[in-house]
Amino acid sequence: MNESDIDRLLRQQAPDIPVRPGLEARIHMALRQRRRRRLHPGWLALPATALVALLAFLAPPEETAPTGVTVAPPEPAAEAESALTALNPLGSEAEAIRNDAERTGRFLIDCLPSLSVAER
Amino acid sequence: MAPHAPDSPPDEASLVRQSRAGSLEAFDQLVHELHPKVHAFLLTLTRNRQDAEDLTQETFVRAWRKLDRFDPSRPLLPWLLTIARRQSIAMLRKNRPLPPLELESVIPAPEPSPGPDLWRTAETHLSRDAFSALWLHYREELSLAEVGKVLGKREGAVKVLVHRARRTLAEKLRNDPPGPPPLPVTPPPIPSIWNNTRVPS
Repeated sequence: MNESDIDRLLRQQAPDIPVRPGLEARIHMALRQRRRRRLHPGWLALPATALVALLAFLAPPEETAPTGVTVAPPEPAAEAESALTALNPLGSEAEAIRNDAERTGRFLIDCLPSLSVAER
Repeated sequence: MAPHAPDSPPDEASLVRQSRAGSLEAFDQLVHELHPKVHAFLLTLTRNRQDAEDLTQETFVRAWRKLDRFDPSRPLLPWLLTIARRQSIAMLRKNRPLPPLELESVIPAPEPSPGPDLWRTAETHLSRDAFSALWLHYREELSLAEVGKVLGKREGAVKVLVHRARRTLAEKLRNDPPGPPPLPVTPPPIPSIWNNTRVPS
């Protein structure tokens, strides 16, 4: 028996393998189960939800628009404080030197005997 | 292409197109036509009926999910068999720690005939790859190139595989001429209350 005989016999004798009758129904059922699971609305909403979350994350912060709430005016104390700090610091220095000079002058006048008293 | 008669069943290409459009009923018809072939091929790979059935189911579920990637101008069976083989490899990897199952006979008991029982000899003496290649080429009538695609081999490698398988079978038949039909490989049913088998006394 040579290889061409084998070739011919393999084609002639090709057997049929029996399939268990329930297999086809089992495949149909599995297909429908997977399809139902695939079309669950929760999974369909997932991409849209993810997109919204991404846009919310990437969007620039909104400007504070007036929303009916009255903004309180700045307090006067704050204004005075700002005016004080706005003065020239050399002015207060000059004021202090002037006060020192007056005190020194009064001390000298009080300490030195007056001419009129010495003559007396 | 010749037009179909109005009451002839739709051909495979139109069923594939309808299935791609979402018709599960059209895919059911494809399952009806092709599941015995997929099951038989998986049986040659796994040699276990339960595994072959599980994998046949998984193959069709996966094919339904990936049908948009399939080119409808090509025949569907080689594509299904390629998925089936990948599924069987995945299952083999998953179950590797388990002890190997006893291999079942794929080929049913032969009808009494004068010639040698060639397919049983092939099942017994060839490797799984060689037997699957022989099955796809001679039983499913796929070309060697298609067999190569299904088995993940080059066409030349499949040609060599089939040639060697034929030579092995020829040598076996020369050395062991056909005698009386072999005993059935399937063991007798285990006595059970469910199958009404009597325990031999």
